[in-house]
Amino acid sequence: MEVLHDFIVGFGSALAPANLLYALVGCLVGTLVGVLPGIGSAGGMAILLPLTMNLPPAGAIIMLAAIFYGSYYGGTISTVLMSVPGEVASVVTILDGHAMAKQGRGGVALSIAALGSFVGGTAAVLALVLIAPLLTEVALEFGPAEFFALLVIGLATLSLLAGDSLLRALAMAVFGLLLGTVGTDPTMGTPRFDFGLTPLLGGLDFVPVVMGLFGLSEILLAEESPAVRVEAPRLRTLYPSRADLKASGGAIVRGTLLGFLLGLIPGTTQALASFIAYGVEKGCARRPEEFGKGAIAGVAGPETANNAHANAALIPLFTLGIPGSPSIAILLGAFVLNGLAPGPLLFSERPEIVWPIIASMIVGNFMLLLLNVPLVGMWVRILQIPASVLRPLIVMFICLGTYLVSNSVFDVWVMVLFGLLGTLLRKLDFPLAPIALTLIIGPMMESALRQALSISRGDLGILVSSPLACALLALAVVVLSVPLWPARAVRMRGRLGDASD
Amino acid sequence: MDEDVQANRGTHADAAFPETTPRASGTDRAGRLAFRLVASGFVLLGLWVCWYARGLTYYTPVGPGPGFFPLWLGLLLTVLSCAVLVRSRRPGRLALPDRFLPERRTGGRMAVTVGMIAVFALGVERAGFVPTMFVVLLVLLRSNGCRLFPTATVIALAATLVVGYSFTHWLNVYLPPVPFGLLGAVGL
Repeated sequence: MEVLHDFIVGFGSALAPANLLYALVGCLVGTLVGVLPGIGSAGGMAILLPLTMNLPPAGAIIMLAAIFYGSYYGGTISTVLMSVPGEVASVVTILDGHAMAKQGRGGVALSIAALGSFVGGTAAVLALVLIAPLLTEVALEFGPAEFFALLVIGLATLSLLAGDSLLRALAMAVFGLLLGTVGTDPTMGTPRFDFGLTPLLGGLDFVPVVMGLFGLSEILLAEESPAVRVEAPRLRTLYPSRADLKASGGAIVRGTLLGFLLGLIPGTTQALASFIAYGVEKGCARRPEEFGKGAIAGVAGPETANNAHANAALIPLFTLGIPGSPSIAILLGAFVLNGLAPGPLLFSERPEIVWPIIASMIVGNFMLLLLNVPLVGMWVRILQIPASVLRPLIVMFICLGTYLVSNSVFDVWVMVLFGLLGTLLRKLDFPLAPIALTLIIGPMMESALRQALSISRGDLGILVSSPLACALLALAVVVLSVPLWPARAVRMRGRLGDASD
Repeated sequence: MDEDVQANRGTHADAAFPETTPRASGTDRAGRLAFRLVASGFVLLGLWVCWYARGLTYYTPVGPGPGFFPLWLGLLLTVLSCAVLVRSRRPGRLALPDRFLPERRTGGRMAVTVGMIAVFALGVERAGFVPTMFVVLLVLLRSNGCRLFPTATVIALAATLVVGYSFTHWLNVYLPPVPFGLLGAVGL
């Protein structure tokens, strides 16, 4: 009952004008990020992260979360109307969505995709409401050893994010952990790896590093991509008929379940969810031969699944502090920047912040449902802005955003350095997500380990002294062993994309 | 992967199935060399970290000191990077893009982008936000293919002034002002 009360209070707070505005801006910016090919949600969030620094913590996270899930709505628009996928998660929607657009039914496809995304996203958020409090009770038993074990699970998820090469992912994770040790040692105050530079004494800021790795590198690599020429599509009607709704109802339910379950597993991707959902829909269809020619279930299933996945992927973040993708790692960074530590304690320590954020996701999904279809014309016009104008403007926001973190030119140089490094590493197929992930959890991990060992006077036995810590470490071992599971499953994951970048 | 893959591998629908399309087998020599150089760089970084960590306290009576984590991380990085390096020598292990080095024009545009960010870093606190960003945008617009100089000038000027004004006055963010109050009349 208490959960319901907290959730309703949070809903009230989410409906406050300021929070509604943050959600609205986030939804619009997220849709824009999704519509524009070449700017993924991770890059977009990294670029806009500093702009949220002056906002209150709840407002900042509300806006960034809205950018995250809004980008998947946006990805669908360019995919359906122009066959230009803004997000890889929407790629499979080309098959039937674009076929519908060619028949003049692009508006119907977008409406059904938005409806499915709303149902999938909202169901996942409601599940978060139900699951999270169960973990809050467990949270009271968390000491440094248990917290350390929890962070080990976070590290173990890297085996799922690894993509083709576990070795490269692990090397990048260790590199990220090392970056986290730059600055003043948290226990004894000894400077480490500061090269005599005063700005480094406070450690490497998260924003310039991710801005460089994800934002600048994306812009530099986009120079190599051919510019996409976009023509305005024709739309006969924007809204689905009763027959369309009936034909897509089952697909939406199946997509919700599938996307939600896959979203709970860190390292699985929205692309995987939407591809499997498409396969399921084709398998369930009475006339599978219509798939690829404009079958509405071929749009509803994958689009529902990818949004249910995106929202369900927030459950491991909120409840355990484990990010399952680069975008969610950036959201985790935003939590940390705002003095919040996602994990089991978040719900008991900061309920006044966390519940409005969760409630705002339902509000945001509803806004996207209402706004996106009527605003299709505007998004199409934005997509027609030439890259020669868009790219310089994005560079301006990258510079501005990095500089504004602490009004320091030093951060801009750090961003340039990591931008060049990120470009090189991405070209050479080194995954970047582990760097972002471990840069955040590294310092927390070091502090937890050193606190635990200080309590036990250096006895490592403390790390396995409680049943909870043992259970968490055992879970970490299970997660680590996933890549060794049947080769067929691994091959499938490889084909459908990984969450490394 | 899904968020960023377009930027890596093109944005066209034809290139939209990046993982289902086998990556080019004809990896160029520069790519292989760069891969090994980068992996070797990480080996050297790991070794340097170990050396650096030796100068820090490894263990104290109440547990690990400031050198504990860096030492182990340095060792791990060295071992893992060595393993990456060794595995890259096995045939068929590397899946690099067909062409590692960008074409001359593309490379030039990349260099201009990085150079202009450097100009921003050098100029923003000396010349103020508006003039520095105007120059940066103008050059970037021209190098990205905005051919008409007047068009580029208008876009650069409008974007700089709108962003400068809205950040300073609406978002209450400090941006370095133009020296001697040259743009004081418009609040910048």
